[in-house]
Amino acid sequence: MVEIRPGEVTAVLRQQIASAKARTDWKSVGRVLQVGDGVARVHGLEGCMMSELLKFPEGVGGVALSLEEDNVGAVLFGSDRLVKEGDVVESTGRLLSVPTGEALLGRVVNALGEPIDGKGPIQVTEADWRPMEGRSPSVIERQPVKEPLQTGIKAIDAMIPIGRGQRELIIGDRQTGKTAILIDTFLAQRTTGGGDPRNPAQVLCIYVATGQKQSTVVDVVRKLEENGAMPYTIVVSAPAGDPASLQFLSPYAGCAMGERLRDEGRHVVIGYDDLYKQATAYRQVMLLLRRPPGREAFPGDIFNLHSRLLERAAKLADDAPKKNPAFKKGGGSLTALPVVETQEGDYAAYIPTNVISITDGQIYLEADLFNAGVRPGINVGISVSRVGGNAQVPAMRKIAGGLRIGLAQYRELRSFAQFGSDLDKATLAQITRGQRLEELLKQGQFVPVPVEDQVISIFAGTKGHLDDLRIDQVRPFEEALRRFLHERHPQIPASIRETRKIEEGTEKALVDAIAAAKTEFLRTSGETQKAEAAPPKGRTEAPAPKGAGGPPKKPAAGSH
Amino acid sequence: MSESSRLLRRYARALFETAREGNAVAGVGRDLGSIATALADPSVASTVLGASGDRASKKKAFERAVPLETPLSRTFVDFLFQRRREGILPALAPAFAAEVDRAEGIVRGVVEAAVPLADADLRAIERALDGPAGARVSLALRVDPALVGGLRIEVAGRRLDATVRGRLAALREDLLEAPLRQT
Ligand SMILES: Nc1ncnc2c1ncn2[C@@H]1O[C@H](COP(=O)(O)OP(=O)(O)OP(=O)(O)O)[C@@H](O)[C@H]1O
Ligand SMILES: [Mg+2]
Repeated sequence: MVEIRPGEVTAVLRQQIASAKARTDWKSVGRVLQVGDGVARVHGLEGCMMSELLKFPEGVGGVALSLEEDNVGAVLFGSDRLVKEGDVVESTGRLLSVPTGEALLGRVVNALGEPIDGKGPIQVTEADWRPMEGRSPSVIERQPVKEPLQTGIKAIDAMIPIGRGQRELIIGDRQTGKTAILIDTFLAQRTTGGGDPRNPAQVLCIYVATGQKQSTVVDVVRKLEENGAMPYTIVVSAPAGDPASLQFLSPYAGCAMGERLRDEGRHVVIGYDDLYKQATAYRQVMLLLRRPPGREAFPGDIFNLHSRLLERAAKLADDAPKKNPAFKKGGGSLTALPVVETQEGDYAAYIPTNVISITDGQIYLEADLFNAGVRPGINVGISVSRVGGNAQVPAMRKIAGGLRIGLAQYRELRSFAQFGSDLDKATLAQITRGQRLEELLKQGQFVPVPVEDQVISIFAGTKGHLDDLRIDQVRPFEEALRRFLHERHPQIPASIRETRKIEEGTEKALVDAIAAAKTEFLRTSGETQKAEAAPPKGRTEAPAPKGAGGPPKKPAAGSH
Repeated sequence: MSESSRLLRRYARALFETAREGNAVAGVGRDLGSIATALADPSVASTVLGASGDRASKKKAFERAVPLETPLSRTFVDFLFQRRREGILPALAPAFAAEVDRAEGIVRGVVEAAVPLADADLRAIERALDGPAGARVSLALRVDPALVGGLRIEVAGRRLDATVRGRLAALREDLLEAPLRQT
């Protein structure tokens, strides 16, 4: 508890009274046209801004969320029973704001920035408050995305690389692992600064839970805590039980917190989970305000709202403070990972189409893949990242091409694979390779893989070093190889980590080490002979339904 | 809502301009006043504006209830019934008055004070205020002892609160928001 000392209170009061002198300004006013359901429509209020705070009678506060030609729609923060038709409403010239800054790290707050984790008040000063509605950096205040944001997820870092300051959409039906990708990405950031939020290299994380079940939020927070990610993370929670207006506002609250850190030179990644639920909350608020709906009953300006939100993600120019003193330090970034839930894979619905068009790439998660055990269930065939490639670690960029081609060929041939023996040798070889690559991209939750280990695994797969293993041996061997290298040849992963390249000498050493690791792996698992002697067909098992992607279609008949 | 207010403004403006050409502004203004008064009676309003009843009988009922002094008013009301726009009748008086004010360069406002103001003071306040686009401000006085002292003025959607009550309320807010920092 904050201790209140009477002497101090007196001093504060005297100071307030002294500064409260004649504050007589003209204020824009309006009159309540109708009120109810926690919202009010107000006539007048000329010049009112979006998300401006309004004063209703009896100390009831409100915020303008819908600006129309001659009236303003507002959400009330107090009881709507104290407000009646004809009441005078005053504008304040202040925008709805939230507390920001490092004091929020490690905390769970609601959409107004109030702590809800029972850990006491958050120590912030007046200067720490920032409007939820922010201005997105201009072209000259930005620079192109150039540093990688490692997610620790092999399929993403290799094939859909994300750069700091980018906007990458995570899209898929319910229960396809969307939230899991955010959480794993947050866990992976621990390697950037040892998990210490004061380390300037530490990438900070913000999880915005909009319209989620309370239990989901609790789960996420627990996972972050268990894995040491909470100290560098802020959770903004507006669960399904919160008023629709707060759910609608929650992404802006999180974004304002992220911008503050970005403008101080920090690197921040923010997950909006999810924008479909947020749009639904907005629709609900606008229906209460009797705004006529547009496509799929969503208000027409939802596109604009999402676009303005995502525009605030940016990689700031190194000399941004020179161009605009609002930036304290240049070079910071805010990476946005919006999530959109689809209904039965319908990417052409209104909200998905909108958000797809305003992001720099999309990660498509598919229920068929996920349920067939391809987890994460990323359809790498259609997922893209349009700007992250420049930011990819060179070692990864070099080998990712082979991965892409190997998987693409496999996707083409997969449907033939069931005819096994009728296939020529070259085709069989391509299928064999593809199956192993697909296997390699499977990954459990909460085990982010450091980039050097990813490079080693994918190198082994694309160079054919896994072709003579059975499919069920691929992941155990990957594990064994990683252990083998870190124990016996730690200079190999260290060199990749430091130079971000596979240098010539390293490559040779790596190939030898892979061979040695494989011999040991097969010996200890007692399967040397079996693997060597297995006929080609035995190694080319029928592929998983849909394999590592391809256009959405019925799964091929096959078994694992 | 904004569609119907635009409609009202269009009709009011047309009526005002015709009245001005025919030197009938004052008479039409009085007629609209009596229409508003008559329609304030719910039984009259429901016969004239209600959903039931044919147009001819509604118009008859209206003519019985509201005697109009100028021919222009009568023509205009006929016109409204013809176009099934009789619904705007009750709101026509203030809309017409707004057109008159606009033509004369007057904006109306309200000044509130705890005690009655002398006429000269009221005129002085009006002169001290500038309406939008150089319009002349005309203030109506409302006395409200709860304001304790000072003045509150509202003109053209903007309000200036210089009352004791307003200051106290602002101070109260400041104190509620005052950060009790641990320094
Ligand atoms: N890579 C993975 N390996 C194994 N299990 C996973 C993986 N990713 C997610 N899961 C599990 O699948 C389930 C669904 O994951 P998650 O909650 O991330 O999906 P979602 O798409 O966010 O779901 P919702 O639509 O309910 O928000 C969870 O139980 C999660 O633990
Ligand atoms: Mg989820």
